[in-house]
Amino acid sequence: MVDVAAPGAGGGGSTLLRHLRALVVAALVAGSLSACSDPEATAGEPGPKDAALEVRLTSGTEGLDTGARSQVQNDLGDVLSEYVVDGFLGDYPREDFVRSLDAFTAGAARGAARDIDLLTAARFGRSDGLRATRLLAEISCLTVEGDVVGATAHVDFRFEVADGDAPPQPVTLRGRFLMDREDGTWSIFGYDVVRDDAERVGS
Amino acid sequence: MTRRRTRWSAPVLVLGLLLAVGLHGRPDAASLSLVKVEPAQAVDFESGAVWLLFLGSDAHAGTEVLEGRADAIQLVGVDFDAGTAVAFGVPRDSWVELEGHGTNRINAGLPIGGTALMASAVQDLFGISPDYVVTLGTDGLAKLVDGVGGIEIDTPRDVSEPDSGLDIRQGRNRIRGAEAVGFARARYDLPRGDFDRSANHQEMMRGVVRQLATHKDDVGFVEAAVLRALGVLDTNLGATELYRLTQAVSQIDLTEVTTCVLSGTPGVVNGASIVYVDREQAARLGRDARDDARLDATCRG
Repeated sequence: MVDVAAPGAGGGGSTLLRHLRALVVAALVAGSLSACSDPEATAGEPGPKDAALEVRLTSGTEGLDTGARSQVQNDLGDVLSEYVVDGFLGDYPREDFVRSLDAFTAGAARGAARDIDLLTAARFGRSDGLRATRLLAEISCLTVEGDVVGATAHVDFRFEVADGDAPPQPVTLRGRFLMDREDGTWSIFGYDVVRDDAERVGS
Repeated sequence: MTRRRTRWSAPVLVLGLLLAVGLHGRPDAASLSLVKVEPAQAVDFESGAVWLLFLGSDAHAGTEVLEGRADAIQLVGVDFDAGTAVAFGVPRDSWVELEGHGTNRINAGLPIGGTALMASAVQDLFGISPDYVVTLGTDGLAKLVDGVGGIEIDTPRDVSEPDSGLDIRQGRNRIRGAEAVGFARARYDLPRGDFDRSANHQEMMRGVVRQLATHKDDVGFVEAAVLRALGVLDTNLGATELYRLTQAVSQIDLTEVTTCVLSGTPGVVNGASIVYVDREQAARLGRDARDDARLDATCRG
């Protein structure tokens, strides 16, 4: 698992986001797939902690050695972590949700830009912030001649939106992110997801 | 391809309203929540219309698929951005000019000149150059269908094919690999012979899409299907392209798919049955669908 730390209000915008992504990447590269934490990431940011991103390889890598499996797990976790941090976490209020599309191929990003309200927390940009309560990605890989060339991440991402004194509003994103590798870099070439937002009704 | 719909979960809506109204007959904001379910999907394959030529070779197990005749010929156009798709079936006995090889049945093009000659012959009919050619033999068809757990097909009539054990009734049927081979071959009991058989091939393609769509969320299903396909297909699609294509196909809405089998007049040349295919119809279909993989007119015009 990888910690995706939640910044609270008052942090340094894009700097903090870069810090968060660096933290996630560092944890992955180190192969530390169990939950870990970095005090700096939440220094001065009191509040409930985010769930860690859990990346499970479920099929398609049976013929790979441990090192190769870890590499795939880390690479794919890196892409998903970047997407989750840029798309849902970070300092609020914020507007830079489009940054999360960096994880997508150019063609997929065009579709994702149209679906940005569903693929990110853009509709909650004026809230106090989001907290991840569950980040699970089950990965099935397409391995051809010992090389992993494609993968599907079956995701269950859950968050809570904090906004003033209102009760936390649950937000979930479930479905599939489709990924492949071009020039050694993994990116998301498609998605097939369902967004469930429990919306409060009334004043 | 990108599609987005919004739907409200009816049971949740009703439950929420009941909770809201409660015993007091008035909304209670603290206890009411509605779940808004919003799907979104897209796949980056290629922008605009993509044309694929699917060939079914009659090569038997143990021989190269390109050595067999192309007894199934389907030109398929897909625009994944628009979510539209068309399939044009070509009767195997269509009497056509095979570039550099004189006039012949179109199905002879595969053993004579390979997929390039088949693509050329189809382009001559429709005015569309296929971007990709995918060839499959009977053994590969059986493995592919079994690999996805069988497919469901709709047939307007009973169909039997004793060699494969196929014996299905009118309506929706689930068939496995061997039966799929029988369904692909069967033509003697069909009122329009090879024209109906071509329509059956299109129904099988629908069945594969239906099966992919049904199981795409099963962990590992698409990857296993692509691996199986890589083992049995002869194609100029690379592994990554085939993976993207399969993922894109799994998102196709079958209600947006139009199919058409070329018309023609039966004839005999040198004692062999042939079809004088309707070239005007082919050219019209090609002009209509070339850019958007959608038929504005009908199959027959």
